[in-house]
Amino acid sequence: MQRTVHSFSLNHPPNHPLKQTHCLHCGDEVVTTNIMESDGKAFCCQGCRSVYELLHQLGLDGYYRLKESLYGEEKQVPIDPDSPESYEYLNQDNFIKLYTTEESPLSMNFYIEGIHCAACLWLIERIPRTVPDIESVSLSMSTNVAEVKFKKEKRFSSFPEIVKRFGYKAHPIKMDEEAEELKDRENRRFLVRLGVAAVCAGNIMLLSAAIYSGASGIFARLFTLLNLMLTIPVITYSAYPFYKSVFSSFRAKRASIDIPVVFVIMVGFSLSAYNYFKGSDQIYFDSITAFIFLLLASRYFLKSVQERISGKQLLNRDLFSSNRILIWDDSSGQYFFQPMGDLKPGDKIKLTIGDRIPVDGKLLSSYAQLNLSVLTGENIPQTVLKDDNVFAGSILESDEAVIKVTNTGKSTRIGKILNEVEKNYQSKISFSTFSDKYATVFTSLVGIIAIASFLTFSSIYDSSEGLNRVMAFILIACPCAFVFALPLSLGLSLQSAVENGVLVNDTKVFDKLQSIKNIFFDKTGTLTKGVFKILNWNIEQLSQEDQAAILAIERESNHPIARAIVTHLSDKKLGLPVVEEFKHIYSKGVQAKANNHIYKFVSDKCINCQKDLNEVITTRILIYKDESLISEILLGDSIKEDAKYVIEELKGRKFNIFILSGDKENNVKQVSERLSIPLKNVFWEQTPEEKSEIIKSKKNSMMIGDGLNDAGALSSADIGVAIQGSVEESLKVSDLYVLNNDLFTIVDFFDHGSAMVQTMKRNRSFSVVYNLTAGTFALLGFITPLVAAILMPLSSLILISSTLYGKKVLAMKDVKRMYS
Amino acid sequence: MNIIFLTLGISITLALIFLIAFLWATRRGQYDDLTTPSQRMLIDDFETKRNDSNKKEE
Repeated sequence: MQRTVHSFSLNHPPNHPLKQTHCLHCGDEVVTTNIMESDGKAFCCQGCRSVYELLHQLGLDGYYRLKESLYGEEKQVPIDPDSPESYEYLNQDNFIKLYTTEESPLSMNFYIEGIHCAACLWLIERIPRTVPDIESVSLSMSTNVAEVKFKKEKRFSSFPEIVKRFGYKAHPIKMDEEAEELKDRENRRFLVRLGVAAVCAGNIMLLSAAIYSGASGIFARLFTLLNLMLTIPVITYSAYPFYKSVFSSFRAKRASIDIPVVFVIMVGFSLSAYNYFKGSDQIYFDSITAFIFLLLASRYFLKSVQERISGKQLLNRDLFSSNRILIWDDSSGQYFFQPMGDLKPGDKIKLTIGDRIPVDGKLLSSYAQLNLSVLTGENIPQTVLKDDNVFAGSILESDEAVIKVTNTGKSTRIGKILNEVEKNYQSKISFSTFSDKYATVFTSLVGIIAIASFLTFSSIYDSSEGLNRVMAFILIACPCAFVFALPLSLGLSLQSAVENGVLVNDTKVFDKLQSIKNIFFDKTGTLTKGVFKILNWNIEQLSQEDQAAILAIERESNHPIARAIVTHLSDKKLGLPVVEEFKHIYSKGVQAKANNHIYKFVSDKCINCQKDLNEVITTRILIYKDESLISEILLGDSIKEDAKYVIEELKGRKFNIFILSGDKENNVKQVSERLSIPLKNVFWEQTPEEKSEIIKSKKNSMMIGDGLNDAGALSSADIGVAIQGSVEESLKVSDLYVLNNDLFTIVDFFDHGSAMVQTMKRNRSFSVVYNLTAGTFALLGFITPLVAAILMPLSSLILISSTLYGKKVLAMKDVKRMYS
Repeated sequence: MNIIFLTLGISITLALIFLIAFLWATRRGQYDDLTTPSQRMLIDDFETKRNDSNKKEE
């Protein structure tokens, strides 16, 4: 959330000597000096100052010391503590029912926006000391979720209110306690399996070392017996997930990467146990347990990275939808806040400026301005009159609107589109990855060779020698490249993607990344900034008096054009005249009287008034004073600074670039010209359905977008990329989510993805060479348990270092580019 | 060489003790969140120092 109010009155002389040039609280540059009386500290605005005062008052100044000692002067974007948002609704029964559980009626979970460092953690967890209603607060930095326990009933609003005053924003969230607990329990159990494997494998290795270095007779027998006993918990308890996965893959008639693993475990254990009782020394307990341990460790790593990512994503999504709505209550004749889920057709709801309409309905107010940009990509609001239909997803731009609900949730127009989208997405998941394909080939190959060699060697020597050689072969033919190098490199790639600002929804994008040929960009909010503002206005031409009149008149209106003008003029100190006879000229503009002159504001389309290369002019406003033209304002959106470079870079890599927009022809063409994208690759005035069709007609395509109208296209594309600020629905169906506002992140992701695929290929070829040589030696009878004990971990070690090296090379590349 | 039986017993008991300690820690949820406690630790350090200096002032 960007602070808008920067210009507060000066209570103190501005020439006061100031050490700070940056706000003490948020680190922003201080534009208007606003000095605290007692301690001479500077703040950028009233908001930051009041947060400071509050903290000071409560004796929590430690926040600043801690922040500075830990992070230096890092900038943070504060959330306006003076926003009028009320949390009183949280004390109503229907909301309490929604956010608390029966087992713990006094605790509620909140997602806290704006947490970024340990100083925030400190501050939030100190709250119980200052607010008597709150028993305890425990905040998790990885998810930004605070679990808050209250002392009294119906005081749930106390927490978000104090948090707001500290400059953060708390959103109550519904936690599926049961699912959470299940997940926790599952994670813990997996960790215990890993721990058991570690303890057993470690001790087996020690005992085996004794055997290899020459223990004999009773000691060798005893040590091996101990090894056998230590192996049993590993293959029964620790390896259980592998059996389960193989079992379910058999039931689904699918090849699984775990089949060769289970095969190795079973064969290795039974052969070793058999040889122990027979008194032979072909015993592999050490190799099997080490193998299982490494396998579990790499999976645990992948799992924890994935979980961290999905947790982040889930919570990001929850933020986008507001949770409550004002519904008219007939019995009391008032509007009441109700949970959004309780809405039903026939309800009368009231919305205020900035709200997203959650339902399809009919307008009951006489008129409203609606921004349909999520549906069409066009920024300029449309005027809707009484009894007109309004659609879910549009944003209210005028003060207030009352709407009668006709359709909710899935039966709204956008709900239906999204339903389709989700269906698309479901069917997209059933691709098979390259690892699975190779695992199948590998398993069947090992099986065939094993049977063939068993038959051959049994006929040459005897069946027990044949069995021993084949067992050694199967054991040594390690599927390491797939079973732990793959999860490890996937995990590392996911992690480095997050560090670079990309959340990966579906790891299959790494497979598909190589085949991408076409890249589709949405226009509004993706290539352009999506902010409607004044681009060109020669304000100096106008007298102070005219400027004041313009500001006074435009303040009467809530139209985005008017708001853009007001924002533009708000820095100036103008004495405002009285405005009379304010009226709208239907679909043209406004007119009013000030200082005894009639000012008229008329908007028209402007085709050829382009001045700057990065601007997309959508509207021209002509200002008339007593019927003579005095000024001209150009308004519109501007292209992101990096868009041109990114498009050039992608073109240089031989991608076909397309623009897919719902906006008007003229606006889209302006953008395509600036970015030199050929007209045949540019689509305008596309409905969400049409966008999706176009994507479907092109194979190997990637779609980058943000709006609700892109959701269909994002799910139809081979890779859908949602960028920062995307609506919830787009995030849900996209494969990648870019967390920063930098289009270059996408280019980087291509680099990272291909580096990962390269590492995988290297690992694969190593494993082929290794298996060929070691397998041959095993069949020729050269592989003894000692050699196996060395070779198996060694091969794993080489694969792991190769994977880590792949990541390091990538990191070096990044550093080089940063400094080049 | 009979001492080996004793040391074997000791080593296995030790391993078991560590395993039990690990199980206990996991059950208690000590590995559920690996990021926050490490940060919290830094803060407590700071807090104690602050309290100490406060006491001195008093």
